[in-house]
Amino acid sequence: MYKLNWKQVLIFLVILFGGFLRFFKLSEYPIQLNHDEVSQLYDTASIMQTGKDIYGNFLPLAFFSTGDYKVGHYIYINTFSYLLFGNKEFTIRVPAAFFGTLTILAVFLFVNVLTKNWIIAIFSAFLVSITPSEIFYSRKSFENVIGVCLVFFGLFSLINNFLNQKSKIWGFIGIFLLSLAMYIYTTHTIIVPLILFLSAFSCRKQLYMHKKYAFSLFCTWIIFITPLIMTTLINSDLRYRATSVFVSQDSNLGRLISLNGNSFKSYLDFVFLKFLNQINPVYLFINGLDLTNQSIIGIGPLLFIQLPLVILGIIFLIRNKLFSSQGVFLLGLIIISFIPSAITFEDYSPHRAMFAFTNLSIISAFGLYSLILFIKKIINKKIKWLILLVIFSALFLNFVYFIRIYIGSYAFEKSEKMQYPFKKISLYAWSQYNNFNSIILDPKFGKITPIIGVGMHYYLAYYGNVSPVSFQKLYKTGNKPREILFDKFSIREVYWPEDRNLTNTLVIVSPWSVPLSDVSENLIIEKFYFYDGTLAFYAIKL
Amino acid sequence: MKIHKELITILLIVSALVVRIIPINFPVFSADDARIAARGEMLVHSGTDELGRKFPLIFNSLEDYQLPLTSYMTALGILIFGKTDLGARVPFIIFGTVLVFLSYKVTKNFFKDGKIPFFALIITAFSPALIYFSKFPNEFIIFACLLLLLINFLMAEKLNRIIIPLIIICIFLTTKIFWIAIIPLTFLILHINTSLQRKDKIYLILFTVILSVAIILVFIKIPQGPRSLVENNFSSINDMTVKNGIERLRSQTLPGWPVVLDKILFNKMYTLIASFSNWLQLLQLSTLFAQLDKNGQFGFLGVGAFPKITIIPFVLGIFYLIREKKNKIKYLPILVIILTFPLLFLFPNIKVEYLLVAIPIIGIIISLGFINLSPKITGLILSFAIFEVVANLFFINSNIRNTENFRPLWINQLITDGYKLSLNNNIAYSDNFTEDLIPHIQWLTPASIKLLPLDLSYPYKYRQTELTNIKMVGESNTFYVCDDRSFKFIFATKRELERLGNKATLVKVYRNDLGKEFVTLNKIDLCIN
Repeated sequence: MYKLNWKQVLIFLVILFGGFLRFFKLSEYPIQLNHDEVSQLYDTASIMQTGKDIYGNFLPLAFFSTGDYKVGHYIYINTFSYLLFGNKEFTIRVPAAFFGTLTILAVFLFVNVLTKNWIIAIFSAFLVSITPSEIFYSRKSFENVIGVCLVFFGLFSLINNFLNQKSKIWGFIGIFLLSLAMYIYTTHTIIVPLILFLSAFSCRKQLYMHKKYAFSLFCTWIIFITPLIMTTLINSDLRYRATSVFVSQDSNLGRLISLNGNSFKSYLDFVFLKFLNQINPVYLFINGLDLTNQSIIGIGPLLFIQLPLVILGIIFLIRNKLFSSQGVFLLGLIIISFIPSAITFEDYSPHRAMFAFTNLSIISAFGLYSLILFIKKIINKKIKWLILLVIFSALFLNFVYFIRIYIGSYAFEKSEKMQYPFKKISLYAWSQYNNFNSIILDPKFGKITPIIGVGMHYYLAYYGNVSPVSFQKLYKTGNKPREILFDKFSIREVYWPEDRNLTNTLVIVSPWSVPLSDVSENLIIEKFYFYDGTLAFYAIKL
Repeated sequence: MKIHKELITILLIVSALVVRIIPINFPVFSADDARIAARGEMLVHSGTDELGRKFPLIFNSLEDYQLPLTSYMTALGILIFGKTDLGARVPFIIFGTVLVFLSYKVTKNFFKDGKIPFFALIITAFSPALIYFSKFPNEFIIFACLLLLLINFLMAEKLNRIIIPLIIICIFLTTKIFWIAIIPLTFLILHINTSLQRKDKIYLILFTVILSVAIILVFIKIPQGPRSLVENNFSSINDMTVKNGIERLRSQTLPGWPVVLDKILFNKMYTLIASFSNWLQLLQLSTLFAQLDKNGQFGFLGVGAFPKITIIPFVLGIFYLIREKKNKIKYLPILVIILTFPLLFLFPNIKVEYLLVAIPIIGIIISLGFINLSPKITGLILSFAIFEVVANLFFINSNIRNTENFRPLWINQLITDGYKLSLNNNIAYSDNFTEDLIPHIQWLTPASIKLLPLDLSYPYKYRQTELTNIKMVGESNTFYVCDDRSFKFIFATKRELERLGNKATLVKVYRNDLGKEFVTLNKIDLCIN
């Protein structure tokens, strides 16, 4: 019988711990499915039951969804989860949580094969298991998590082949996994070719020695990605998705061009600035995940305690000649992985830079390792243990701080970002189904400024247990701006001077569309609140 | 060979001077710059400042007290070159150019290699931030220059007991934000310089400590001195955002979550992280290499403190610093930390101008990055760097448009028109179309200030509202019909036009630097109180 050694037990425990952090109360935190999640979940059900999305498109590559042409891979991957767990809320979060957990193993294998240092590998796996961005994105249905996992497994396979002289099959597996990652998320479509170039540069000697084999790998890669290139060229929806988030959509760039009167200079200045902004330590280690509204008090994609560890890690990698080539490779990976954020339109897009965060966690593992090496040199045992206690207490407290922010403040301060309380509204609307001839829902809502909740029809369909077959038949667009109709429901902007005259109608509206003072109190039959208790919507009986 | 080297040095310094001079009228003066320039002119001609005080040591501005050296240096320029753009800017151009030479000298103290000081010379000569700050009246370029001078003298083999104290006194009279940095700086340099005698070191440390304490004590004796320090140099002490944030997060209780843990996690200690974040924000790579000041008040549009391409030698320079354990060089990062640590206390204000003192030292780190680069690549990087700086000089108009609020060029015409009208009439200006118009009027026209009796000898945050026949109109002023001494013209924004209604007759429209109609000249016949 095969016996696990203590090292294997340790990595197993780290993965188990990481898995616990990703799966524990998966349907409760975040507090509600956001519009992306509910649309993906309902589209999964639709695909499984009819082979079509809710708009009747047969096995689409890009789902129209809430108007944003979601790349469909997550939905197709989610079909496995759907088969296993059924049509439950947490079903949609399972693939990301699963691949997020698997990333811990992938990182361990990658670092182990890259450095041949088991301790750095286990530190990397451990830090990845507790890093805020890893946990945050693994607990929502986010395809980038899958992409990151595949890239690390792919790199592990490639390095295993080239540096460890393992079987050539590893090389082909690596190319396959990296190509697959390119299909999963547009970020990886951009960074994987660059990663391959960097890997080829790092292993140029080995590649030169095995030119034919290297060429065959290259050809295999081209074969794997040809369908992707073809579909991107042919499918206008996929192209729309890519161009709609490109940096050219950024209003700040537009202003710069109008000031300069020169597009080339403006693009150069702007993209370079955006790129360097991604390395802003305040964003990375203090508040970049945007989980609170308290400006500087927040949490970054990485723990604050990882900042000194990253600095130590960089110093260690530069000073230690044993790891210098690995250091250059890792730093190269970080630089590459920030490129997608630099060429897209948001100021900061942590969801596009996940691969960079994982690599920064690996660098911080080097820092932790160098710190341990330093502490080992201290002769006085008490001081040694005291320092270790301080380091791990700080790490623990920082982690607990993240958990507190994530399960508490994030819900209180950012519930509108999760379209809270759309679920409650949907359930309420269905509970009143038999009492009214028509039910109008106005998706305009918000705490400080009004926003339009784009996925209301998905919430209604999912929480009303409407079968996708029926929904595809019932779904219509109305004559009013952005109006969606199905069954008794009308999702549209409420125009109170006109709509107040309707009869036997339930109107669910936010104070942004109809101020409370405009409605007689006895007409209000229910109120819906954001998680922090601020009024979000109320129901008017007409 | 020596002549060749000296010739190159001179050529580079001349190039530094040229890029600091051309174009001479750029950047357009902000209200603060104009105030210093106008004050310089008053000091030359009447020996008084804008409040009528005879050769004072403390001046006033909208934001804070101002220390004297900058104003007197400006006065010196105006004394020599007259009341012109050149006169007001020339002292700073000279300081900026001398700084380039000093960075060469300081680098030589740190690094004996013949090439590195040259690279430092080129990097500082063509640093967009140093160029920009050399072109208008400000305390930061003087401070940076004096600081390099001090470091240079402190690193000499013999202590100069006259010059060094003089430089330290001048530093103390330049800007107060760095008062707290002088003692650790002196300590560090004296620690680096092993050739000085122990008694010299003690003498100098004692001098610096005593002077620091004395100056701070004198300053806090000024009625609003402590307030000035707390509001402008230690704003993190007074900041409420962290305190409120903590209270807010604590109030979001979770069932089953220990309250004690919340107290450990959310407490006032977070102010330290907030302050640290402020420091990190200023020292981040994007500020250094991509955009120094997004508002454009203190830097070229789309340009950092250094040209973009120099990020390559900067990274290599950091690598070099980490790898090499040579005695003096390892202190460069510590020097940067000492020079920038006062920024820790500025939270939540991010003031890029205070970063300027560290720029020459970071320039030395960049120059270290060239050590392991081939001459071809070095040449290529330096060529790109110089090209970027020169190319940006062709985009001056973009900068003017970007800073139409802080550095308004468009107001010159309406100030000239207003002055002509004011020779025979009472005229008024809305006070909300630029930060502070009075200093601009004083600088651009011969209009003289209307001195009002002062309640305090050192009023804090002082705004003047009247010149002879010219009055600024704020929200609190009212218009009324009167027989005598009425105002005949008003340069009005939308705010005043709405208040005036049909009592104003449009004469002329003025557009701002973005081409937007912003201010109108109107004929009126009203009094203002």
